[in-house]
Formats: sequence, C-alpha cells, structure tokens
Amino acid sequence: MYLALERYTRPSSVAEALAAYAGGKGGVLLGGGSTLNVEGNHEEVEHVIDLQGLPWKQLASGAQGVEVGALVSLRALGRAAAAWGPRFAAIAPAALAYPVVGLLNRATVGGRVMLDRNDVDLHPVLAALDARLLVVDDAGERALPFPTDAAGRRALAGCLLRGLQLPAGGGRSSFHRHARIQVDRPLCNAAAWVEGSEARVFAGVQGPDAALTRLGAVEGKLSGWGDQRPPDWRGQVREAALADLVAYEDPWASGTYRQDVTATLVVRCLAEVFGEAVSE
Amino acid sequence: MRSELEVNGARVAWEHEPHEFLTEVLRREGLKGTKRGCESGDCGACAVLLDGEEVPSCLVLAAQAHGHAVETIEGVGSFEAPHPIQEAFLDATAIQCGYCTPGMVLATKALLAETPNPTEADARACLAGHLCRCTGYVKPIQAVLSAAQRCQAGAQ
Repeated sequence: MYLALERYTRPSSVAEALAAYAGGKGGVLLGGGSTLNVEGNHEEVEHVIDLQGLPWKQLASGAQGVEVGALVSLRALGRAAAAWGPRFAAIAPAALAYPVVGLLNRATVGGRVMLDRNDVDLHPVLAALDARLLVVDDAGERALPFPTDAAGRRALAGCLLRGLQLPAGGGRSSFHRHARIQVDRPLCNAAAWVEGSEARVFAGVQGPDAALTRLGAVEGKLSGWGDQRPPDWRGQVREAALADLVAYEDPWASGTYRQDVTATLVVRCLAEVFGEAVSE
Repeated sequence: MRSELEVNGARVAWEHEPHEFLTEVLRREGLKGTKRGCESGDCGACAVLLDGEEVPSCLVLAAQAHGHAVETIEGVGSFEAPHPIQEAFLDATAIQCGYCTPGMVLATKALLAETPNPTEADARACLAGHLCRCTGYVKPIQAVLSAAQRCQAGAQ
C-alpha cells in the first residue's frame, strides 16, 4: 500500500534486536504497528524490526511500584491499572482515551512512549507519576527519567525501550483531555498527582514539539496550601495555570482557547484528586 | 516471504511481500469478507480476530501474523449455518449494505467471549470503532444485546 517496506525482521532475543536496530540506523522498531501505516513519515520505511518475539509483556505491581513491559497493549494497561489504587488512577483513562477496541489491542505502551509528539495522552500521566523508562542499548540496561523536553527525547535515541517503572507511594492522580470528538487526538490534556504538599502537574499539546509543559506555578500553590486549600482554590489554580501556559495556536485551536481549556482541565484534575465535584 | 499461520482453524502457509498488510493477503487468498476501508485503523471494516482479540487487519503486517491464529468472518458462520450473532444482526435488521457487518460481527464475538452478559454500554464500546454509514448504530447495538441472549440460550 503506502510502504516501501522491503525487509521484515523478528528478533527472538534482545541481542538480536540490538544488532538489527544498530543504534537506530538499522530500521524502524515495531511494537503493535498501530501507527506504522498512519504516520506520514513512515512511508519511506524500508526495514521494520518487529519486537513481538521479546519477553517484554510483563505487568507487575508490588511494594516497589509498578513495572509495565513495552509490549503491553494499551487495553491491557488500562484494564490492569484500574486495580492499582488512587496513586495510579490517571493511567486507565489516559490509556483508554481513544476508545477503539481494535486499536487499543494493537497499540503498545512502548510504541506510545516513543512517539515523538506531545499529543499522546499517556505522556503527561507518566511525567506526573515520575515514571522511569527502562532502556537497553549496547552499553547495557539503564533507567532514564520520562522525557519531558527535547533533551530527554534525545537521550532515548538508539535505545530499545524494554518497559517502564512507576514508583510506589501514596497520593492520587487524575487525567483529563479535550478533543473535537472522542476518537481523535487531543487538542489539549493534563495530568496531576498530589500527595499532601507534593504535586506534579503536566499538560500536553502546548507547543509544536514533543515537550510537555510542567505547571510550576500550580505546583507552588498546592505546595503552599498542603491539606489546607482555600475555598476559592479553583480560581487561584486557574489563574496560576494561565500563568504557566503559553497561548499555543495551531490549525485546530486558537492559542487562547487551548490555554483556557487546559486551565480548566487542570482544575478538573485537581478536583478529582481532592474528591470534589469535577464541575462546579 | 512466507508466513505460516492458522486461519479459521486451518494451518496455512502464504507467500507475500514484506510490505503487505493482513487485509490484502486475506482478500487475495479468497477471504473477501474482510473489507478494505480507511486503512488507518479507524473504521472497523477490516476487523479480524488475532488470537481471539479484535484487531484492524489494515494495521497488521501479514508477517506479524506468522505463528498466530486469525479468524475472519468466513470462520464465524455461513449462509447455510449462520452463527447466532449473525442471526441476531439479521433479525434486528442491523444490516443494509453490509460493508461494516463482518467487522461488527467479529467485534461482537470477541466481546461475548470476554463478557457473555454485556450491558448497553459494553455494546456501545464494542462498536465504537465500527463506522456504519447506512443503518446507524441503534440496531447494531440491539443486535449485540440480542446476540448475547442467543449465545447464552444456545450454551444452555
């Protein structure tokens, strides 16, 4: 159809996969393939390296936290995460945000994490939960922080993603998105994790590259309040969020619209975290 | 290249090009109930079951199916002996042109294997990625719920 693909490789070991990938020069990595025929930049792909033969489908939660293999499907992740407690509550709605069963069965966690875009619903959630990426290259295996900017993305170049780790702990997380229709990429999204005076709040689709926006002013408000937030916290959070966000405009949304809706999503995330009604 | 897989219960070995997706190869091998649609995983017309899970065959390289089991609409039932799910779609008049129907039937089969007593919300979620431009969705949703009752009655 649209692919110039001439070579398909299915390595059965990590060593074989690394040899085929050759630090990113050997071909394109294939998890489930849900974006292979969809992303325009793949039309010239000549060699795919299908990772399905590697044992990277673990889904384990325990005292150390959660470990998710790169080849776990979004559907399996969403279903499993629903039982992991309030700290990880943001994962299921982000994993299952694009509600097409066939795609959710094919799309993998690794494939979504490695997408070099900022409109991936899992990204702000993984950043808010301080996820670590388990990567493998010729030098061995190591853990990297979830990339929230271009430098972090560059650190992943040439690596295979084996999976990710989500540290254990308390608190609660939440995720909200806004799209023109449900089965569409988000126009904006936001995720928050809060425990006492600690908070991590991130938003996606706030610029043209893959970077996420960390809402430092909102986190500062939450840190100052601790468990004693003022009655008008929604207004104050909204004001802080508007200060954190740039008015990023693209063909699908004006800058002020996206900025305003993202601030609303942040307030909704925090209302959910606080156990309050999402809408006033 | 050559892929060996199980299709509708029979072991097959098919020659194909590395760039070919499962939709193309299935149709070339005569299984034309798998429809070509959007070719981007959004319309559901090409849905098949891969190891029992619904997948859009337009996004699965034929090579990726090597070593796996594929079920197409031809494996579900026939004109002479339709599956209860197919009967439910017929009786609910959930079919007009029929282009989306194979995908919907397979999606329903996958749903009922996991959730024998689906709610209407389950039925809606099951059909969310299946676009129908003529019947709409009310009757297919009724058909999914009716199919669940028929399958349960058949199992008893």
